[in-house]
Amino acid sequence: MIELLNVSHTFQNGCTSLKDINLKLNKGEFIVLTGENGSGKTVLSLLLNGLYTPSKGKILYNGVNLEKHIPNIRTKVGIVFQDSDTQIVGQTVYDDIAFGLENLRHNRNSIDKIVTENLKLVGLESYNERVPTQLSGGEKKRLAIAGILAMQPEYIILDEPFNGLDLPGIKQILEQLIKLHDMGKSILVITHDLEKVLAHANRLIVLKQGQLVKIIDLQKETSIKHLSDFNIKIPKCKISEMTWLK
Amino acid sequence: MILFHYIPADSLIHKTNPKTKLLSIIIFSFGTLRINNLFQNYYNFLMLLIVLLSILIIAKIPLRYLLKDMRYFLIMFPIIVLINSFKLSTDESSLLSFISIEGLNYSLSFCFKLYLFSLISIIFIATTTVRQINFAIENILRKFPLVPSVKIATMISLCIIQIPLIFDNYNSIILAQKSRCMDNVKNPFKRFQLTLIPLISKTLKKADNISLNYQAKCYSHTRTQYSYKLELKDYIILGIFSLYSFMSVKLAL
Repeated sequence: MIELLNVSHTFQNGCTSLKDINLKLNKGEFIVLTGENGSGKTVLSLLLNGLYTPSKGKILYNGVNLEKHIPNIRTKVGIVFQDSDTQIVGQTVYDDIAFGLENLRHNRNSIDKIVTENLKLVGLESYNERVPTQLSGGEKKRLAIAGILAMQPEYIILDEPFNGLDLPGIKQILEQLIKLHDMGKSILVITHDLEKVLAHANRLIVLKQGQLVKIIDLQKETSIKHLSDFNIKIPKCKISEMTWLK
Repeated sequence: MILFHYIPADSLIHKTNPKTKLLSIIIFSFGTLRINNLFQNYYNFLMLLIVLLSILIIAKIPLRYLLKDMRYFLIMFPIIVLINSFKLSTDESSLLSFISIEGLNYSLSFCFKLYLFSLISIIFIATTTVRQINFAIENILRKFPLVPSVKIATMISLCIIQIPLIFDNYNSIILAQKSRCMDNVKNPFKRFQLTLIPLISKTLKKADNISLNYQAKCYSHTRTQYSYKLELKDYIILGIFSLYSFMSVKLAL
């Protein structure tokens, strides 16, 4: 479990991005995080991966302060950035997935095995020697996910995973997320497109101006119309119908 | 644009040990550096160019696009020639009152060498992935005590990742500015400012994101190490390059 206790974050220029966040992310949960632009969603994801450190408060991973175990925590909490192009560092699909594993000092055989497994998992098994720049948006996103999955994290954070994707691309990513959730991974999706994913989530978290304003248990609620005050695009259908896997 | 990009292909050059390729470049550069007289040793330069073009063809790199991309290098050459001609001008062998033949010869040789170095580096980058380059550099430098091999290899590979990004960013900025009628701006300094400032900020932002990504993927200096063992064919390639280098030095003396 990841626990955020009174977490605040302020940039060096004095701009506060998050204020007193108290939140628990349980293992195996599928959470959707939403909020208007500049509400601190991305900063929260970077804090969870240990890439940013809280200015105030603390983040506990299974009861242990995350700051003190940063290299290890990054293997437990994987993050897929909004822009796949900057996430992909390898010049071939294989190289990119192997990058994380080499950092974790896996041996050559183990790297080969894990890369093959994860390429299969994201449906890119025949793409081993392909150049990432020649992949489509959806394929790049899946490659970025595979690069993180290879490091075997328990929690996977995806920042705007549906951005710039066409319908088949969105479906592929969504199927991937559901598959990972079924495998027992905890998923945190940051998105504005609630209608694409909410039917599969357990909880919806809403941020506004750096503050956590709403946590909704989606198993109990049937509608989210009351969230219109938070500048969120509210789909007109029921929560159970908010999926693009139709 | 294919300049400084890895171009995958099923070729002999792609399959060659990255360490061999790197060592060959070092030997090649050493030999080429010694030739300073283009007017006397023009056949030597010509031979080199033919060799490099043959390697390009074997490596299945699209020659037309590559040479088109390399036009940026040609822009620098007149400036280099002009500056060096002034610098070395002497009274005895002056072509005009201020440009000497000696200076012209030196600067043309310099430009030609620069072109050859660029070409061989581009071939290396086009046929070797950054990961292979990283491990090859690390592998070679590891033999030297007190040399931070991993740090140097990482720095070089990060630079190689950044170069095509800078070119790609430049192209997208130019297109974006042209779409807003930048062509109407006649002042070259203003045009320079309109492209350079966004290019720097975009490149720094990308570099920042790459660094975050490296951290997110647990980058450290204690990574999996690969050993590239040299085989017979690698020794043959190194032998050919060494012979060339030796001949060039001899020719230059």
